[in-house]
Amino acid sequence: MIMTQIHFYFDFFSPYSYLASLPVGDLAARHGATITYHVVDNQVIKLNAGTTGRPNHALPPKYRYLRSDLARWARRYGVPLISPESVSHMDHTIPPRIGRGFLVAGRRGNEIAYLHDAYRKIWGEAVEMNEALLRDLASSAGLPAGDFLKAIDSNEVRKEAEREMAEASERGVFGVPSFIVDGELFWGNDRLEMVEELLRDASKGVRA
Amino acid sequence: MAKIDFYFDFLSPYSYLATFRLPRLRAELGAEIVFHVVDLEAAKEAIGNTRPASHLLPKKLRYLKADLARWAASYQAPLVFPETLAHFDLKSAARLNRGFLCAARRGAGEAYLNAAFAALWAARREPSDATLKHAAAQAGLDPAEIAAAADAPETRAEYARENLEAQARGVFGVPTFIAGDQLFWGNDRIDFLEEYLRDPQAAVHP
Repeated sequence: MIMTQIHFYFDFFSPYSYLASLPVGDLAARHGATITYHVVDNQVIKLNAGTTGRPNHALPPKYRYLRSDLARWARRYGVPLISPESVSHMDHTIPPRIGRGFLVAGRRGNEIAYLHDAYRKIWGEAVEMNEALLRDLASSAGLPAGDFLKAIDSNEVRKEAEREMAEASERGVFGVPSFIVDGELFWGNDRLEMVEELLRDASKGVRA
Repeated sequence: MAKIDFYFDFLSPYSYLATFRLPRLRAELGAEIVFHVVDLEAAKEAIGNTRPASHLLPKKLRYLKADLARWAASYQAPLVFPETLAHFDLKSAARLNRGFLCAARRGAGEAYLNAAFAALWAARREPSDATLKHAAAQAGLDPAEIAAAADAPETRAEYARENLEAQARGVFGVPTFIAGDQLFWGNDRIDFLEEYLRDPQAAVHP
């Protein structure tokens, strides 16, 4: 039997990706599916799709709402989640490096541990996204901090990150979190229910 | 009795979808629904949101169609995506919105709303004078009278007022639902709305 694959597209800077990263593992396990993780830079993905305009944190009424919405999801999932305000003005060069760290961790088979460690620190514990956090994440990646930092800024890893993003855009991804299952795209942690429905139908043989 | 302020625009397919679930909430929870027609583009503009509409971006359009089809299937709602959406006449769409105010004044707001939504999102009709008159007739109103009333200065003023009031209450998109001091955006947030109506302790104040 071929296992169904869930392609999960995420960005460490995206609180909704953090939320999606928590239940998706159990969801896959319930249906005997595997998850392939794809780290992307949401800003690039959005621009590739033609989504121009100000970011949400520059749109006060919408931003106010998003804070409420995130609080509702955190309560539903029973997980800690800091206010996105605390990260909206931080150094934007860090999240792509944390993203490349995920690729480096993956080479040692440590991508899942790295992903959850990074997400917990950033969105659960409000650890500031800076150089110190990167050094701290090296242990989850399974490398000494110096080697880790060198690897994430290497041309080779940068190219891999760009390739992932180009592929994501080609596959129709225009924002994160996104999931592709059986060629079908789902956008948002709020669509995990639909992903689950699809997996349920697939296991019943409802779909061809 | 709990009150739900429901903000919609006939141009919004997710607003259309919401009309399949809201009446169920009303029946189950004995909630009152107050309908507010607004101009989605104006609401976005008011907060400085210059993002292009999803149906104008090919990747998002493709997804939009798939997502709407999934929701329509789950609600068992008829939905035919209008291929001419990008070319809809926006003045006629605003007039269709104003027609709702005229129908509501005559006690037939909901019937007009259902007819106008179905025309655009299930019956391949474009916003037009004919569609407005069709919705009026479906609601048991005099089509010519509603068409004339939709253009009256007092109706235009009422529409402008409704839009400003919505924006003042924090409405930045549609569908939006406000209950108590809680705002919910999107057909996909009716779950959270329901949770709050059943248990006011579920309110968030971040």
